[in-house]
Amino acid sequence: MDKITFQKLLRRAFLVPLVLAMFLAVALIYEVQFLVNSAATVENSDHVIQLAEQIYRTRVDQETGLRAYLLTRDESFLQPYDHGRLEAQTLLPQLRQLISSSPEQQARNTAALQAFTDWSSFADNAIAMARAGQDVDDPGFQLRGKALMDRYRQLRTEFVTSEEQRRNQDLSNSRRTLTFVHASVVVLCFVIGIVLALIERKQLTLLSQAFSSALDTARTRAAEAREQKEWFHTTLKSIGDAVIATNAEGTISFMNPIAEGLTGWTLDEARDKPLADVFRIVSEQTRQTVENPIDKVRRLNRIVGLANHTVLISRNGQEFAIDDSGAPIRDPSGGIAGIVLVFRDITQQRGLEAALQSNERLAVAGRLSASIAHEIHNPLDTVGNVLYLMGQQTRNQPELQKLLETAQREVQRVTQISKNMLSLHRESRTPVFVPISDLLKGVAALIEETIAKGKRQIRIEPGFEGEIEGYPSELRQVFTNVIKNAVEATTDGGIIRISSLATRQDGNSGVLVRVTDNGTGISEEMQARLFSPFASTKQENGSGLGLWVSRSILEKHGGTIQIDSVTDGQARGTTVSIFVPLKATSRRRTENLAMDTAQPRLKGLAETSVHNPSS
Amino acid sequence: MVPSLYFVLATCFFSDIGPAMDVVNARKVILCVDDEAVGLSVRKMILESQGYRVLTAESGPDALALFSSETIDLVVLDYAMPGMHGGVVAKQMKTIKPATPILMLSAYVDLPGETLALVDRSVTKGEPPPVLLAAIAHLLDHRELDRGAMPAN
Repeated sequence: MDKITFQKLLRRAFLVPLVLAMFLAVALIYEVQFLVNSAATVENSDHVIQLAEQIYRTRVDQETGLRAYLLTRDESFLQPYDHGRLEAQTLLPQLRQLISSSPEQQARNTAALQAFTDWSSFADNAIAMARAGQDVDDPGFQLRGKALMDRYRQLRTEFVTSEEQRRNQDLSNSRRTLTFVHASVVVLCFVIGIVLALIERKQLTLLSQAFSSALDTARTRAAEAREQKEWFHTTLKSIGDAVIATNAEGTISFMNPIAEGLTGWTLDEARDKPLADVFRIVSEQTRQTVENPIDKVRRLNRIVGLANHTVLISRNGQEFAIDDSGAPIRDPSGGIAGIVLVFRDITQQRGLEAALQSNERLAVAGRLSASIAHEIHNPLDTVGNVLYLMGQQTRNQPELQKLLETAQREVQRVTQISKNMLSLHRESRTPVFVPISDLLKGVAALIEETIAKGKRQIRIEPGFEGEIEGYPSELRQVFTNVIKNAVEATTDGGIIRISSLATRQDGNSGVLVRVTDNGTGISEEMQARLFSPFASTKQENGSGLGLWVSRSILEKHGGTIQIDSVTDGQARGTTVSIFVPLKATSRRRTENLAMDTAQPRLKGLAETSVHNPSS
Repeated sequence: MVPSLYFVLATCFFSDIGPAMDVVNARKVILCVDDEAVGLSVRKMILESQGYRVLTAESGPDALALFSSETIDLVVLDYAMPGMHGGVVAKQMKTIKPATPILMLSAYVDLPGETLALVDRSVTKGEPPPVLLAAIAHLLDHRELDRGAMPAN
């Protein structure tokens, strides 16, 4: 039962009695009207009768006056005679008016009037004769007058009688009507009552059904909502990440067990406390309090992530490196009803990352060692062969000289390779001043020697000649990775250009090194993953960690790395832009701190991280 | 120890066949493949001093071209070369002329097993020259024996 049907039912339940009541009212009005009309007719008849009586009285007065005059010949008796005639003249039109609706009464009235007119002319004649002194006492004459008057009387009585009959008729009519009205009102009320009862019963049944079904639905909904709330609660409780929810004011309303474990507060203790009291976060680098995520979410009104390198300090002082995000909880109107924070302990992950990075350093060293061994075997082989040839007795002096020179050159090559290799792996714990241009030359020379072998040109353009403060072995690793990638991306005759210039980035002075090759370029799909671990374009030849490690090294120096690549056309090739600030900004202090806390956790990995400069 | 062994072997060889030896060796053509130009020229001198005719190639494709067009008795092949490495070159050579022996001469100590299975012999760079020469002589000798045995079958 939906809302509309419900309302329709409700409306019908009201409308049906209303319509019936209106019908009843109309019927009553009609009957009352009829009754009033009947009453008016009766009144009209009364009036007619009264008027007729009045006229009759004047006529009787006229006759009496005439008789008295004829007996006495006294003119004063003629006064009622004349007066009666005048009065009748004013009353007659009124009577005619009243009976205008009835032709029978008009006919009777006309007949009566005619009879009286006959008598009047007899009377006028008698008066004239009396005045002339003629004898008017003749009984025959008298009787003629009487007969005329009687005729009038008779006709006039007929008129009144018939009017009375009409009146009585109307009266009984209206009485009948009244009875009928009484009866019909009772009957109608009764009928309407029954009809109403029948219809309303049906409507009300439907209505009550609708109402109870709506009630059932509401109950089911409520149960579902309760169940869902329970479900969400359980889900949040059993989720692997820590979850804290606050209301709009930033006081805690929910924490799951993981969050309780990390913060050191139980939900009961933390409830209704401001988030900042329970969730204390500082920057790993500066140890300064990080902006409260509640404020940040409220300020930006969207999902936010925490700044990198955030440390959560638990109630007992223990510290966890965390990775988190905060999201607004919106009410239906879109306002912020609260904020939910999700975070996880990434201390372990940090350790693993460090181990992976040192592994990669080892792997890089390993790969380079293999390639260096290979490169040393080649000149050694030549030197051995030359010595063998020189040992043969048949050689003349110039030939021997030539062989000797070849041997010396090859030995020099070995020395050069070995020198480059040494510089590659010298570790330093504190930042030192690094002449970037020399470092680039050294790396380029080693790569020229081992991988490019004269088949590619590595051109170092003159540029930045100053020094930067940093970790030379790590920077060398970065440039080795990048230049080696460039060499491996090009075919024979490829050109790798290395440029450097002093510049500023984000307000820091530093040096921007660009390594540009005209090789195959990197597909867009690959570009997106370049800095993720284990992404490699060089199937078995690469570990897929090079750029990932390079970026982390540069981040440690406060620098950046960016790659732009074109895979076809004239401008095909890749440019890697590396920015290193003049002072390794940074983080020596916090790095040491992080080292101290990370040390015990890394024990299991210690065997593989001998070369990790941060351990 | 090893050079002396070589000299014993070589002396036997020389003395047995006598004057015919130079003629036999003169007919043997060795294709030397290496991207190291200096090493390649020195190696050529050594092989020529032993009486072999030596063809050289500095890349895989060049080597394959020579291998197809010339009569080659043995290939001395480097592994690590830019573009096409020795493993690929050896595989193609074995498709073109499966009977020609290939000696893999590489500075790498751990060559892929797949490549090792493909070539007839593998020698590491830096070993004294007599080791290489003995290996070459051994491969050519065996081939000679196989050939000699064939008519008997």
